[in-house]
Amino acid sequence: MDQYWEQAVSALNNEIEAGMLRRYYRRFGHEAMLLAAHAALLPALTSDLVYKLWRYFRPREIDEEHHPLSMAVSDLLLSPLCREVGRGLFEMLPNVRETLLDVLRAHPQYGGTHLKKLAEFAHYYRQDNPAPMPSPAYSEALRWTADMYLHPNAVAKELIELLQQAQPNPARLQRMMEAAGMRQRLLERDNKRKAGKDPLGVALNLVRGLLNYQSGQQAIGIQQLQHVAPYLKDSAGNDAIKVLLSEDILTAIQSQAIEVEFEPLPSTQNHRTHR
Amino acid sequence: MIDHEGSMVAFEGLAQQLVDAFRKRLPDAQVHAWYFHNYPGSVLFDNPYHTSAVDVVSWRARLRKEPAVLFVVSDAGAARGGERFERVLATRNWMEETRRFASQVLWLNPTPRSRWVGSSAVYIASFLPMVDISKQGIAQLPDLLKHL
Repeated sequence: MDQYWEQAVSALNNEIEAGMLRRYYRRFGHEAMLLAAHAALLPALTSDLVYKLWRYFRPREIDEEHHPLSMAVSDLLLSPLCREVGRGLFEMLPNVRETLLDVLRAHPQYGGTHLKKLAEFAHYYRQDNPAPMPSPAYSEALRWTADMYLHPNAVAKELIELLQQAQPNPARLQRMMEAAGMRQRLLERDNKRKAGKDPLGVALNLVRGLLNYQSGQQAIGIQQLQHVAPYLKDSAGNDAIKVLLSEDILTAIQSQAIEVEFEPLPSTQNHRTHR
Repeated sequence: MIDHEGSMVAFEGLAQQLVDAFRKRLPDAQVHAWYFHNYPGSVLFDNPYHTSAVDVVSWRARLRKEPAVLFVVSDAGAARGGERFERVLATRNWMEETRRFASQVLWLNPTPRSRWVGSSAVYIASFLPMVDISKQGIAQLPDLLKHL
């Protein structure tokens, strides 16, 4: 196992999952690990998707006769790194997924640009392969994954809109937040930057804060909202994302360091925008 | 006869390509795909969704009336590895009975031959002609078919 894999696997808190990755590497080798790392960007896997992914991304020097592509796909999907969640539909274990993706992000040969390439692949796969999509939820998750890396502003807007729907779908919101959360952690490790500078990071913290606040965990919620307060504006351009915040939240997140002014609306809610 | 789902999940596209290739070369009525999971049992399915099945007794009776060459597309346990003797025995019994009605049977294994060792495939290959679906394996087909 080279230093990048070893570092990432050693950093895994879960010994069982670290053991799974080591055994997978020992049994199938470096190329198989590389395939797993590429597939880790995708929220769910089908054999068709992994096959097309690896047909495009696998190193050119791999000998097809001795290492058939379909066998590499089979080895990954049938390995303990993945679990079957539907007919022919697999999901990589979340911690394993993030660990592998982090290797790709940190590896000098790949890095953040490569993650964007993978996102572009996901975008085109979804666009060009409507038939093999196992479900609308799968198709949507694939779109989010692609757009999070390619158009984070649009996904940030969608995340906030999801929260503000009259009857929000908690499962859908949760799935989107998990996907955005993974991307945020990768970005932070990459640039050592605060997620606040990233529009999707701001949206995610805002949604997390609001959900915590609404569910009674007000102290945590306010703390999270205070992180994004500097990005909230009373008035913003047309491209800004509009979010409704109740007056008590607005009052709570004010501090001397943050000058927030707002005009109370006739109801209990005020309009705020963030960008 | 196509083994599908489970360990065959990555090879389902390949199996379909094989059926399509037969259909291109032969009249539609002469090609029929039957589906099973892991190893054939008391029924075979008419489609991969298992919405229609035929019991194997009537299926064999039909083979007696309409002689056929049987191609089995299955990894024979090689994709996951591991020797499962109940699988080997069940396959052998099933095939012995079936060969009384259709003697020409060829097993097409989508996993490379190097992966058969340590799996049920190596045992099944000892009583049925089996080739891997690779350039080398396919190159052996004409010869194997002649001697079936």
